[in-house]
Amino acid sequence: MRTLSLFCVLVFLVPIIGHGQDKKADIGGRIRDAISKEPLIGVIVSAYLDDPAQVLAYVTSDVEGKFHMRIPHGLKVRIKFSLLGYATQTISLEHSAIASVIFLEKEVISLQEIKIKLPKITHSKDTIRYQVDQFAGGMDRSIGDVLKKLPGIEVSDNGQIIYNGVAINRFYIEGKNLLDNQYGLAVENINFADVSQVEVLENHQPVKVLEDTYASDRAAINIKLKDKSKMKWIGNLSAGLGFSPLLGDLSTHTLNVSADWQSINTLKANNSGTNITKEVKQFSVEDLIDSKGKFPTWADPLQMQFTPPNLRESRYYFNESVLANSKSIWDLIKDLTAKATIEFTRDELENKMRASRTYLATDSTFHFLEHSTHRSIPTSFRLSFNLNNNIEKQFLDNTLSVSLQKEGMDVGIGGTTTNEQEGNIRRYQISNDLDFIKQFAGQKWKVRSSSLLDLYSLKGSVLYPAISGISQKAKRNSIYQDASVGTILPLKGWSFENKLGVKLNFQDMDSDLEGVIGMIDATQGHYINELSLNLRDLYYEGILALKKEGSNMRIQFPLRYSSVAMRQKNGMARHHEAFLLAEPSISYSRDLTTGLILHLRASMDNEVVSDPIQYLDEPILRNYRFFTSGSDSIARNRRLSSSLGLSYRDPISAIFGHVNMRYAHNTNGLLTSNRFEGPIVVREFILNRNRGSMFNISGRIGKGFFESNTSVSLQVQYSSNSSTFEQNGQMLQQSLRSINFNPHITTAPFSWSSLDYSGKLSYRHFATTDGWQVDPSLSWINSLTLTCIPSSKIRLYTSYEYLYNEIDHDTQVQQQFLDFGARFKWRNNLELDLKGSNILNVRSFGHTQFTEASINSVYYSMRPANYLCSVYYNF
Amino acid sequence: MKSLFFSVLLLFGVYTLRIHAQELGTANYRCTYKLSYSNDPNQVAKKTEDFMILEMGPISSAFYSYHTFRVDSAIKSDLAHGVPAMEMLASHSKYGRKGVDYQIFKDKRLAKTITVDKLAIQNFKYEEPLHAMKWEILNENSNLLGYEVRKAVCSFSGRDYEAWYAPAIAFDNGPWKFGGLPGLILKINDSKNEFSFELTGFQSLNPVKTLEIPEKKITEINKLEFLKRQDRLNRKPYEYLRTQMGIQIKPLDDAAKANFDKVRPYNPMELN
Repeated sequence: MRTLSLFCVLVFLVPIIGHGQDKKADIGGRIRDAISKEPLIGVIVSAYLDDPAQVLAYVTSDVEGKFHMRIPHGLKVRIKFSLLGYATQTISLEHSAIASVIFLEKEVISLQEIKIKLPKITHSKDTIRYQVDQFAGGMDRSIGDVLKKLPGIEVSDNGQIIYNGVAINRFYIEGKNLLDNQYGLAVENINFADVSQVEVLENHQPVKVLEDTYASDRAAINIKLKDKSKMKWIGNLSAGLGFSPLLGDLSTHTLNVSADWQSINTLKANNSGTNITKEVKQFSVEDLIDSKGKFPTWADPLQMQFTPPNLRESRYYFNESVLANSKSIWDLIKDLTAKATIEFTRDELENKMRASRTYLATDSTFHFLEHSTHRSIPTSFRLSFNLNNNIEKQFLDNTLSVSLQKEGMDVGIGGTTTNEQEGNIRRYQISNDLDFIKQFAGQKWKVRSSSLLDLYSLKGSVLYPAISGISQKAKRNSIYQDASVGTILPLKGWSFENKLGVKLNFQDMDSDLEGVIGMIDATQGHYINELSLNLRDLYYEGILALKKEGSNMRIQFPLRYSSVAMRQKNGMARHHEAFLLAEPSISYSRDLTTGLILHLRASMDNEVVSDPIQYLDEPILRNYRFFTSGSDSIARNRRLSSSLGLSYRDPISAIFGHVNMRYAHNTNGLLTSNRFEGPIVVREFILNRNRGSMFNISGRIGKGFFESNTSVSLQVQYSSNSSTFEQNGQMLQQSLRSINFNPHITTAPFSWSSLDYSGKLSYRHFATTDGWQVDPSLSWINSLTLTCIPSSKIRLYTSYEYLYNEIDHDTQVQQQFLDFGARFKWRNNLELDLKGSNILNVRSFGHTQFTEASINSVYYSMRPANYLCSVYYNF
Repeated sequence: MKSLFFSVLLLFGVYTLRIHAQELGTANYRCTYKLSYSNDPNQVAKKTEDFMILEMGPISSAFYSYHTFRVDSAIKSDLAHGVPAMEMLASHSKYGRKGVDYQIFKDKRLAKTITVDKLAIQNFKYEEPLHAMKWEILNENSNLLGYEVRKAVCSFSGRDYEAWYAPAIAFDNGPWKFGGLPGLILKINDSKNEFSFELTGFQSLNPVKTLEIPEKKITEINKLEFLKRQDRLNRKPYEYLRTQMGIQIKPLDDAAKANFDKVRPYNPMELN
């Protein structure tokens, strides 16, 4: 390190004083490096009296190190020589002016460096880029922590990423679709320090061959890693121990992103209240090609699952969880990739709750009090293999998937009806999904095939101490096949698609309910269902689409001939019906001005009810006090819906906003009819048209303030729902109206502190047409987190949560939760964490739900105060 | 139509981006500036932003747009990897938005400011005296990014400017062609606030960086002639392409023809 000392030698004096008419004196000289004696160019020579700010004159030295300037004559002037990298030198000129050779000595630069920052957000065409380092701070660790702070991006409670009000359709790492829709694995685990940029690819059409045909209103996210984090294994390892009770948390995560290969691997286990299976949740987005779900879904015959409260999950999640997941993608040959996933999850969950549920009828109510303990052990194993070729002229995508699921459930109920329930479910699924699109002879040719084999079986039993018990076995086997061919013809900016297809769905469902079931008007014996339900659809679909700069339109007119055959094997009765169904829809979007887009959509959906459980002749056990039996006729549901939306974004100013209004009118073919037999509810599905409607308007506006590292947003949502039920033979129409306000502020005005506030204010009004009206119910959740960084090695946070819930007219619940945490940076990549959750030890949380013409006030057990100390190593 | 115009430019630009360089000196400091400017004199409130880099050493400096540098580098890399020009054109959006085209080099040995700029696909170079603006230092102090700064004003090329310089950063340099103050210019804007540069970053370079003037197919020109051509290109781009470069783009319909003939608004930084 060079010395900071100033060294000045006056080698010679050359008076070059000139007395001009303006009475100024000329001074000049040469400036050289003290060591090399080389002339110094660009030295700033400034003259002043006493205050350096009052510059009388200044020049810079030329290529030979010479300088020359004129200063007022006769003043006691000081001359300052300064050049970045050299020690500044000041000399006084007394009465006579001087000229000299000035030697400046090099000096270690002590200037305050201003870290070069790229703009926080940059925007070009359909791509918005966020500089991750500039948004990260506080206790952030994963890229998901930072994503929540990015203006325009929301991460919902279940982990789904939403960009300006619409769920994303892809999550890429360095442009590769490694994760499909299981992006929680990346969001929760990749350290933000490995990521340089988050890119939002607006209006992203993932199928390249369709880019010029069909517009997309969804965005994709692409994360770009820092160069130092590519072409090698990166990841993290953490281990923690705590109490109460004895808590453990183990986690390893690795990621390798290379030019032609990517792999992400996660292994985790904990009993500390973290839902790790959420990381492998598959976020469903509409089918990229046909805008609808590919495979049918059916209701779970057993309904013993725990209904979660509207609260941060870690507060009530009593768990022992294991997750192992490995995903890899390879470039096989040019533009052809292979992808494989292997996944295992196992949870042991336990929840306790007490509930007071009142079913409303026109002239009476049915009241149930119960306290229950729910235990369940869901286990899942899944394998999948995918081949993908996605280029401008061709798209090939084939996914073969096998999954095995098992869940054991055990529910103990006390209260109105004391009982013990057990349930065991097994499910095996094999599916293959093929999409092929080829541009050929001026047209695009499409072939698709989706196949599914679904085998489901259950065993359930209920033991009523005073009555005896009942048991049930059931199984449902289903084969599904959807195959279609089509062409897309370009028509001067428009395109016209014709598609022909066939859809087959063959289902068998058997159930055997055995025991003393006197309470449902039946004697001891077997109640056996043997149902066969076969659907055959022949369909044609025409799609007229316009895609041009600034406006997009899509008009679909599917026409479907649906033939349904149903047979109750025991009764040998066979029922067959056929339907001709139209499902037209139109969607339109237009750029009104820069960043402001109008969206319109209207559609009519027709659906044949294909869930066999709704056609079972004999009762089937759903849970201890809930039995259903079905209709003997085929039903269909119809929905008319329309929506109007406006979205606005100005990424450079960090302003994002949207408002959406949606109205839907439903006509359901089956009416839900509840019959109350003592403590038992027998639900029948009756072929009877019933109508309901839904109106929803929601909006969100957010703004980022870069100077103060602040972002604010407000989300407002109003919804109104109405639906019809039959309770004990009496028709009842219920309506639920609610309005929600969600303000959110996050600010880090100083480098040493940040503050995060979020609120949820909910106001609900529930009523029935026949006079039942519940007092408006208010609930309020306020969360405030303060983070403090006293030194570069220590980070502290404390989080306070206040909840207010109106359970009913006379009961209000106020609860407060307090959490704290400390993080000590031991070494560069080794950190020690101490976390305390619910340190006020609040043990229950109460709120009210309004569902199915009933008022359900529930108190949930909370996890006790717990403390966890863990070590986190990032590599 | 606008995209067609720029696609044509990109296609030609791809072929001309074969850079050789002329060494100028070394830079041991890098400054970044946010450039904010109004393209349209009728809509001065509508600002375009760019991210500018000033790399400076004792005898020379280079000033250029980071966005333009990034896009040109990506294109150059694709060229080096043999990506066909038509494929690059088809996927030109992947390169992102370019910034301003000009690059400004200052050479103290020659006491010259050298501007390299692009009109359509042609590269031009012109020289002018170094730091030709006459500054008046005012008795006003302030603080920017932790540095004490002083105010100075000048008139240059038809606009009046107000600058804030930091005596503690002893370099008589600044963004664009500005310089000649006894300290680095951290912030400068014209009196109408149509153009402004504001320092956003400052760091030393270790190792030092060699500064080079790219020697593309470059045409030397005098400043006045260049500004005239630039004005014509920006106001009537299709006419410029046809008359100056012999590139004929035929409009497909009347609407396109009207667009061709339309005089576009243009707000040059240098008015004379």
